Amino acid sequence: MAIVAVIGLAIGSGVGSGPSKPSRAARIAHLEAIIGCPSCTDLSVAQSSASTAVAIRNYVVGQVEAGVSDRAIEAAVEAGYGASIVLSPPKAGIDAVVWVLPLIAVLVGIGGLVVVFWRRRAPPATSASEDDRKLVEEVLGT
Amino acid sequence: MTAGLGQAAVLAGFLAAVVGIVILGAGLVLHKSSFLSQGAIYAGMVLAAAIGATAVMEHALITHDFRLAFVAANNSRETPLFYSITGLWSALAGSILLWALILSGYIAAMAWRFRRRAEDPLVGVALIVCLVVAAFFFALMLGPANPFREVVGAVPADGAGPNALLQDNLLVVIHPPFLYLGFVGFTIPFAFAIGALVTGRLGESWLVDVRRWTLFAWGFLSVGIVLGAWWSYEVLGWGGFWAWDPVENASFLPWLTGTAYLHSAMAQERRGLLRVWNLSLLMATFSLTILGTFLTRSGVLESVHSFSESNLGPALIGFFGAIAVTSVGLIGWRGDLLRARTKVESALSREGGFLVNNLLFAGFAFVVLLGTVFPLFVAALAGKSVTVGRPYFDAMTTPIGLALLFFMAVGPVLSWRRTSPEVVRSRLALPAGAGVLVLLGCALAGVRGVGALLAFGLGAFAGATALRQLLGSLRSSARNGGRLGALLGRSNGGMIVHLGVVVIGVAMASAMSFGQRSQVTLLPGQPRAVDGQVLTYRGVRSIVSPAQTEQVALVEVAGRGLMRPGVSQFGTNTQAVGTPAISAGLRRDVYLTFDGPPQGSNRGVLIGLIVQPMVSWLWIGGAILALGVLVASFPRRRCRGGPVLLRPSPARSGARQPRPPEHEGIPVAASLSVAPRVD
Repeated sequence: MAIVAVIGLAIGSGVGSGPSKPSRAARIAHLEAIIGCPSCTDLSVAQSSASTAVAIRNYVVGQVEAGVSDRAIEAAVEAGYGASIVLSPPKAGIDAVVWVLPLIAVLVGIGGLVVVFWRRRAPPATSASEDDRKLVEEVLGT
Repeated sequence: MTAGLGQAAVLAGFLAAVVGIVILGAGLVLHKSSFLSQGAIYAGMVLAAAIGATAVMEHALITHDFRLAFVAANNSRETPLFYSITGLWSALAGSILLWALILSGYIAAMAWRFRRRAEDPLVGVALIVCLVVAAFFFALMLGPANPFREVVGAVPADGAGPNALLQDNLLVVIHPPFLYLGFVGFTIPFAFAIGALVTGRLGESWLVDVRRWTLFAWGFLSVGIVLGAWWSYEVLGWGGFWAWDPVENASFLPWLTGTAYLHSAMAQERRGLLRVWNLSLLMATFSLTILGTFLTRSGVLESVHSFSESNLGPALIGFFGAIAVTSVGLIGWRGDLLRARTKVESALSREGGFLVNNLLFAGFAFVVLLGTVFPLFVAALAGKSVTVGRPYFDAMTTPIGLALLFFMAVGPVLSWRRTSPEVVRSRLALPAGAGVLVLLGCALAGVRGVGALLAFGLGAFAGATALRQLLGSLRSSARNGGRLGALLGRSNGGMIVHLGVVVIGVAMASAMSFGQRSQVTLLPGQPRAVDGQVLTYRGVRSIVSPAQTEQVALVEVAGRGLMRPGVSQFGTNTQAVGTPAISAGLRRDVYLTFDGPPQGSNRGVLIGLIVQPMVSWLWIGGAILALGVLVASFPRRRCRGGPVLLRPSPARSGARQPRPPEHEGIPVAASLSVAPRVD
């Protein structure tokens, strides 16, 4: 079953269907998802139909078609609207903390699980008393 | 007069709570049972005061009494009666009053439910804790969140009316009360947890006492969140339902810890495990409701769901700090009594599954909390602005969500203590097969994207496991004469909730992965095909009434009929908001927004088109989840003549016995060596 699932995932991920370099459409979709709409709350330009969002979407399409890199497009938008226009925090400097802390938490959690499941090998903390045994014998009628 | 009456009611509620705290406290310290038995009287007085204050405010809203600043800011003569009533929770001070009303109702219900144990110190402490929380909220209304403050200067002839977004959809009527019923409901289990810590009765009986209270609070919160997503989808005009907005996150955080608790509490009830963890989860759940209120009502974070700012920040963060310090201090103090006397014997066990599930929920909550407050820390520490938005939350929470789906599939087939790998394999064979088939079928049908495929496959896996468990119950019920009572109970209810969550998860994966968005200019009478839909613009129409002025575009959508996206302005409120038109369907919704009025010589209009696949299943999933909560809240009737089972006994609580989950009864002879302790 695992093999069939892997085959399904391989088909669904488009393995072997083309070059691994992201397409222009994928780049545009990614950039529109991470750039915030300046006149909205919480929305990316991809999610908003506000005029400012539409303007930024058009700018992104134009820059991608002109061969400008993603990083350069992000930087240009940041220069115009401030760093907080990007909805995904950078992975460097103090901002990297928000990415790293969950990974540390995952490691701590896995470590905790290993300890808990390891402890199961310890001898049981309780044992049956004589009264318990009598109770069992009564119930079983032996 | 109105202001005076309202303030008198609030003051009466505050005083009743404070006097109740003093009397009950004296009863505990002096061991006076006659004092303890008076708890219900003070709970009733607090409720009466809250009802009185609410009645005064509702009367002021309905009669447009603009002498009150709250009414002048959130009501107008043009506001329909319906939205005048809901105006109570359209801004901060009224929301706090609603909070106090619901809390008072919960406290009175709790005092009545435990009236025969009023002299029990645990119940006494729990009631004191509830009254302290009530006193805090009444105090807020006597100070910074006074809903009965009068306007300064001349009384205005008309008010500003509610925010336009709050008079556009009926969901605003039920969504906030449901959410508050969930938030506030967690006060009761929190109070019992404190009661158990203070009295040192830290066995399993208090868990049984609050089981149903917790379940109802969780159910209300779950439905409230789904309704909030629905409101966002119907009203905000962006075609989505969840944006990782701070208010959304604030409601989601206690849901995550509450969900973890609902699972881990079973491990304590059955095996005496995770005592500290369970207490911590309840403390966290309650304190997160306060922290969430602080984050979203103090103005420190911006939100589309926050319709007011306030100066409540210091009071709320102070209360949150007091709760956190008290909780941690009490758990530390009772550390010796909280040590579990049994261990998780096998990773392949129900309790092992709950442990993993709880870590995932805790991790999920950690990520959401971190992402929500991180901008505040960066601003404070580095003096710069950073946004943590959907790309971050999606990237961090998708793997956790998928892992939860996986464990939702595996967990229910595990038995307590240990399960052999062979048994697990045989129980999971069909569900796993269903999951793999769905995954492969979707891939072959053209679905692309590993995340979506995994969500569909794991969703089918988890759904099939839940159905397998439910069918087992049905068969068992049929064997015992088809008694419907056998279908009730926590185990079956839990599986129905799982089905609801699976439906929601699959619908979210579909809508978020395959939704399409376009913006098109439509010319009169000329059909245009966009994203699989054929749109024909038929003109614009203005609709004017005292309550609403709306300009709608008439757009015919092939197979869907005439749709009317518009832009509206409500009453005296000058803010114009979009009023989207939605044609819902089980396969997909068509969602239109009126983005630009007719312009130019050809009179073309700009229309936003969003095609959202399967989004209706989100709301259906919410209904299934609510049904599961109802089923879980009724005790299952066991058939007569079955094997003798030994279960944990809440004998001292006098409450109903907890029912062991289905298929897990432990024959007496096999279970004596692990007989659960009783307080």
